[in-house]
Amino acid sequence: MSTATAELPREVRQRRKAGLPPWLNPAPLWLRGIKAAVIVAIVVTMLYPLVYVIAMSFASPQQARAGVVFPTEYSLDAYRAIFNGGTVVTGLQNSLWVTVVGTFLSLTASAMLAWGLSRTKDVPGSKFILIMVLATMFFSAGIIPNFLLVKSLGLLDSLWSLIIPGLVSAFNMIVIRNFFMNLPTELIEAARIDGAGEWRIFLRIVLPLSKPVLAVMGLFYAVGYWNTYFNALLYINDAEKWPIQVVLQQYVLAGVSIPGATVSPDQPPPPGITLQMAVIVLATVPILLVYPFLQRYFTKGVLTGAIKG
Amino acid sequence: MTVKTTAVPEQRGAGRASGAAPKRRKATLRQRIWRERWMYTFIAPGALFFLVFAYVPMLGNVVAFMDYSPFRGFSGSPWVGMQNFVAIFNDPEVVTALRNTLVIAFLQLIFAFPAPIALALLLDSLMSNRVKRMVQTVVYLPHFLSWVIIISVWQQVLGGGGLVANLLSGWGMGGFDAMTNADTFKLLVVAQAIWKDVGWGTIIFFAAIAGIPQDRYEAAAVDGASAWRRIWHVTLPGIIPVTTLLLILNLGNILTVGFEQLLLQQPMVGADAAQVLDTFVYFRGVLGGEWGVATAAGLLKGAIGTVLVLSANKIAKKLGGEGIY
Amino acid sequence: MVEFSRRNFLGALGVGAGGMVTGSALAGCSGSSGSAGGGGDFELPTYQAAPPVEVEPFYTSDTPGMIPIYTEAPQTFFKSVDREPGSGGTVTTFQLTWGDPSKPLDENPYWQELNERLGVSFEPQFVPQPVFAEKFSTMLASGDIPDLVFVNDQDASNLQGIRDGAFADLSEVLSGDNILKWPNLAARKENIWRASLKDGRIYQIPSLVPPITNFPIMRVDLLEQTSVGLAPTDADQLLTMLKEVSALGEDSEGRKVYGVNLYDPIMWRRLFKVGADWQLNGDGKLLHSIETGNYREMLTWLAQAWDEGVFDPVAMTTNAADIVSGAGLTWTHHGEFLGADGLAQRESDLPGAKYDFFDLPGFDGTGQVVVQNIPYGRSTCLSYQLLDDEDRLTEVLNVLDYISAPYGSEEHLFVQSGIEGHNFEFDENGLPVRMEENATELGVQYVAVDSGEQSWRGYPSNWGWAESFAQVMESAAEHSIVRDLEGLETESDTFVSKGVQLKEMLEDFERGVVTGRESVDDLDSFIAEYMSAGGEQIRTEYTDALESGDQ
Repeated sequence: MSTATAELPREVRQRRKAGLPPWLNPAPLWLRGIKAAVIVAIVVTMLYPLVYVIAMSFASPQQARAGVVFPTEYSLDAYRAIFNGGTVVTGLQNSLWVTVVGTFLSLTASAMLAWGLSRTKDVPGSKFILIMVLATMFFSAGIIPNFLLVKSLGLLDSLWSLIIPGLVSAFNMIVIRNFFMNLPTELIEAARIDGAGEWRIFLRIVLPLSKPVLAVMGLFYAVGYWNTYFNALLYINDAEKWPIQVVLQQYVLAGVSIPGATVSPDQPPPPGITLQMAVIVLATVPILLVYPFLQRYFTKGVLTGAIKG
Repeated sequence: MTVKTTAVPEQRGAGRASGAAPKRRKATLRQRIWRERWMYTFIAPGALFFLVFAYVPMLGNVVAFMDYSPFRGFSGSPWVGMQNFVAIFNDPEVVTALRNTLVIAFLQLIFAFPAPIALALLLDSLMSNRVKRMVQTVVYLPHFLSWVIIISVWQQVLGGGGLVANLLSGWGMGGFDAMTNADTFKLLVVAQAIWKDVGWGTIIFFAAIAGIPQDRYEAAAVDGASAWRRIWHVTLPGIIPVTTLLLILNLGNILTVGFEQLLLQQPMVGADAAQVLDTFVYFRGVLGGEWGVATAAGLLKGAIGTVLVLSANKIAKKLGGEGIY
Repeated sequence: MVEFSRRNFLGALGVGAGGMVTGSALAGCSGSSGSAGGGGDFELPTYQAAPPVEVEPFYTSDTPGMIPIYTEAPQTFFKSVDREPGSGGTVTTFQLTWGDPSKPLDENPYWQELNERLGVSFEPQFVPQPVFAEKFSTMLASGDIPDLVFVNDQDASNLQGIRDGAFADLSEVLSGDNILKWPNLAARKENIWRASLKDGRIYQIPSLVPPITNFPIMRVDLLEQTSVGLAPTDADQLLTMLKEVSALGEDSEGRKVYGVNLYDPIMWRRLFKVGADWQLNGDGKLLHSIETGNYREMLTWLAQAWDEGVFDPVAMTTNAADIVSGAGLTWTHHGEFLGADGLAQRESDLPGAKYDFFDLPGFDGTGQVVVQNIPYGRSTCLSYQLLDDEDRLTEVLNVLDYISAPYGSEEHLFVQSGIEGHNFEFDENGLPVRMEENATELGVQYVAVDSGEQSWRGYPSNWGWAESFAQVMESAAEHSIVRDLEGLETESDTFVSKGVQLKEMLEDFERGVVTGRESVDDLDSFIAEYMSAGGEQIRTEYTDALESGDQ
């Protein structure tokens, strides 16, 4: 157990080059072995279903209809069928817009409210509001009142109906608030003594210090908006404005049997499992790509850098 | 905020208003409001949002006391007093549903809640940033798959005709089927939940770990703390606030356990093992078009959740933690 | 049995039947739909057969429950209606969608042509199936009811909408010969109208469903290898046969096989002659099928079959994708003969497999008992708002009349298949084959209801099975019965509100007994539980409905 000091062995220099702090020592070999084994096991079990989904999305129609555990013959039929439709592109555009605009607005509104409610002792009435917000996590309104509200606000058939009614999630807001409250107090304190206003403190100190939690909440919101399905079905009748999830689900539903509906020869055959899987791949992959970009905010060291900056 | 800020005049305006008395005496309510007026600009938009989009529609919950029908509307549907609540409590199945819900929720708290923390710590201890990021990305994938797919995959591996069963029967041990065993079903449910969401759950803890000032680790290392001790003395205390918060909030949702997951598997293991409150309400209220009953059940759940959160918050504060508010 | 007289089918029945409905439903009737002048006398709409299709059927018989089978397509098409349906108005709909949403009007020649032919601006609202119930409820709550609404009256909230007066009471508009103004709507028989009445009144225009649609198919290549062969004559032989299929382990391609790989309760009810859920016994008392001795025998037999490995262990799943094995017997439907994805497709997908329709025996060596379907399926209701404007009402009925044109008509060809050369082409058999690139345009009109003579029109690739299809369906029809409660299913409020829960309860118990989680010895206590959870209430309500119908 050496506390890295003067001699600076090669190992330490290498680690410094890799951006790791000099005092971080590698674990003993046996421990690293166990860790590696556990990690590999976790990765394999978690990766398998996705591999399965992707493989099935490329399965040949014959194999898919007959039912196989894992396909051995492949085709592009499912993807071809989906992109033939033409509404997929519109759907992607709609979803992209809702996700980008929605995430930005939600994050802004949530962070503002979180900061506003972060000093319940000082700000009269803010504790009451906090509790009222908290209560919305446990009491919800039904579908019908929500629908009537959206309708009376004239938001039906507008993409805004997918953003505004769910603008702030009480859960996300409270988590952000929790992080705000655990920020190092010295800087904020100092700024206040310097006469900085709340907005200035919020924009210049609080937000830069909170990049990790804002990244997480941004991801939560973005995933939520990207996966918008039920509300879109309720509030949007114009198929041109459907987000991608709704459009894609239609392929899965094609030919779904309706009680009492008769089978007519020219009705499309029910969707193969390949189509379902292709839909999952197309609906999921874009949002999966967001995460790696956010990961850098979780890396240690951001914090000190931010304070200096 | 633990900082004492009361005496700091933050704006010129504020300075003038309280300028006559820049003392540490307790300010009047009006003075306090005026002093913090900028904070209300943060609060107002969010508060307005919750008022309009949460509380206005929540008025619709009056249907819990009605024999509601959508076309007749709120004004045209007759009041029935507590009848919907009575209907819930009189249903013999509600006991099974409540029992299953609580058992599953309890198991989730014990196993599923700490799982992401453990995984986050494990991943955090990895040296290579590249491996760390890669593994992080992989473990969060299952979150994006629907329950239908997940259960299908589990079926292929642990079901009666699945991989493990075939392997075992090859060794002369037939009849393995983890998917239809009513006795172990609740553990299965928790295992599935962990598998699906453990990676997703780590994200929030990663953020918390990233928020721990680097110099604390350095200081600990300089003091000669081993890797284990650094986790124990620096990392864990660093994530306790968010852990407490999530635990309390989880308690509030204790009566909500995996609706879709259970609905899909109920035919395989039977309602005795797989009926929970949400599936019960679905069969009893939603499919039967009984809006009143479904809403009444929602109100009951909300009331119980609120009571639990309030008590947990109190306990957390007694124990010296922060609580939620 | 319920016997209604054809003539003077009085509104009094409506009051009689409504009498047992709780006060709330009555309040709804006299409230919102009061302005409709509901309650007047009416007759069931006159039946006027659609013009005959000019090809000879492959098979017909007079057996009740049997409908003609065709293996040829008509080459010429008749005109079913001689007028432009609309006069420039707008017709809105609320309809289920299948598949990709239709392209917008300006990019959709089919939709443009539909507007042209209908003489209206046709404005559909597409409702995907998973949220149909929720959308339906929000539509009702908003009070704006589209002109034509797809309704599934087996769903509690849809039925509630009908009872609350959201839809037009069409009893008088369509009464007797009045309906002849709409020949395609008139091309449905009395029993269909009668079965679809709500509280004795006409609220919905029902589409037709063949009396028998479901049956098992068999893997001939597997069954041939058993000592029993392809035609077991009773439950014992069937059990032996299925056990031996499971014992094979694999088919010729090395795929795992079982006797049965997906559990469906109906097949076994037919085998054990259990009959409809609610049935009249010899003394005229209403019994639930679980109270019969046959049901008990069925459970005992199934538990034994499960225990002896007849079923795939995942047979109780609700997710078809879980099933990756092959099976000796598969419960399926007439799509196997009618659809492109029928038996021919199955054989080409699975090399080495040979399929055929399977004639199920009765457990005791006599015939099975097949309960015929409720004779109508998806229905269309009209907005109550239309009753204020007779011209619009007529226009909307004209439009519905046009899009429900019967098979063999020009209109049917257009509505179902689109524009020749753009949406479809005729193949060498004279069958319209859709052109995939423009297929999604047709998503516009799924509001349609069928009418005319019912028939099974086989898909060319399945014509080789026409003979055995005819034989199996004829046999099923010979052994078929009509439900004692036909047309009265929705007359029990408890059934409407708790039916799903009770069904779930029953299926749960049944699956439990079959898989060995529960015992058939608990049947009596289960029956008691079932009856106290609402079964007894339903019995009372149905008994009342039967009695008031008898008067």
